[in-house]
Amino acid sequence: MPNPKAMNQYKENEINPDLWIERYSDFLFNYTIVRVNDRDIAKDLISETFLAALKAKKNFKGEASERTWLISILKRKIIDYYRKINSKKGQAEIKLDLKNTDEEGEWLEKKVADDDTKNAEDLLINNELQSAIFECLDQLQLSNEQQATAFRMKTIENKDTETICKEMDITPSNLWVLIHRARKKMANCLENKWL
Amino acid sequence: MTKTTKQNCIKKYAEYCDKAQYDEASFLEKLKLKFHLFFCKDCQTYVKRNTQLSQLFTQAKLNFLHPEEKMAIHSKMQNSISSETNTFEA
Repeated sequence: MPNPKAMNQYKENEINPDLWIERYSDFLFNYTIVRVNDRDIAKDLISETFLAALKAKKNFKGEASERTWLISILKRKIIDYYRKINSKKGQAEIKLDLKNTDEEGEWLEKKVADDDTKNAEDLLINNELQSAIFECLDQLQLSNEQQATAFRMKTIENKDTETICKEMDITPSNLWVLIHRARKKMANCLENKWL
Repeated sequence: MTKTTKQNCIKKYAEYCDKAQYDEASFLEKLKLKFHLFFCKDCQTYVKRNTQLSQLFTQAKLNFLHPEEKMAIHSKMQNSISSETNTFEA
């Protein structure tokens, strides 16, 4: 898994494949899962993205961040995935949710328009919030690795205190201090980026 | 109250608040925190921000890969790199 030395040497706008999985896999996974709605397919697409990025790393000019570059590759992978499944079926799938046939004629406004508008807006807001959270997690990782690890294990992986203390070889009170500092930094960061 | 005593006091209640975000604060700790919040403005602000942070994480509905899944992606990458190297050498 990630090389700690490489972690410390990380700089913005520089390619560092050793850190891709640790730094970007969760972000890319969130981006993909809402678009393909299948955990296994999302994982496959992320693997393919990393492999394509490895092959194309010479082309990375450093004009955008590593994350933006990986997302642009992933977007193409997702489009390719849909092209592939649609070409297998011979046509694009259009999903209509008509539950009650008695209401024929009214379904267009009632069931389709309202739900879709709300979902698209929610998705957009959620994507922006997720991006902000991942950027703040990145910043936390850069400022203090131990705090970031404790915060990730507790908040994201939902591990219990005892397990984290064992894995990190710290006391519970040390853990709560780390979490307190991490939460303060995350709150400051999200206040700037989101609220 | 001196500055250091106040800081220690805030630290203690901040820990209770952090624990409460993960449902790990005991009943007594929650009670102490609630009582303390009546007269401590700094802690009120901290609790408000801390709760907001937890709400944002819930609202974001984040999905995360399990460590085993990350390992699987990692080994997939390694396999692909080594097979490509072998093809190139052959």
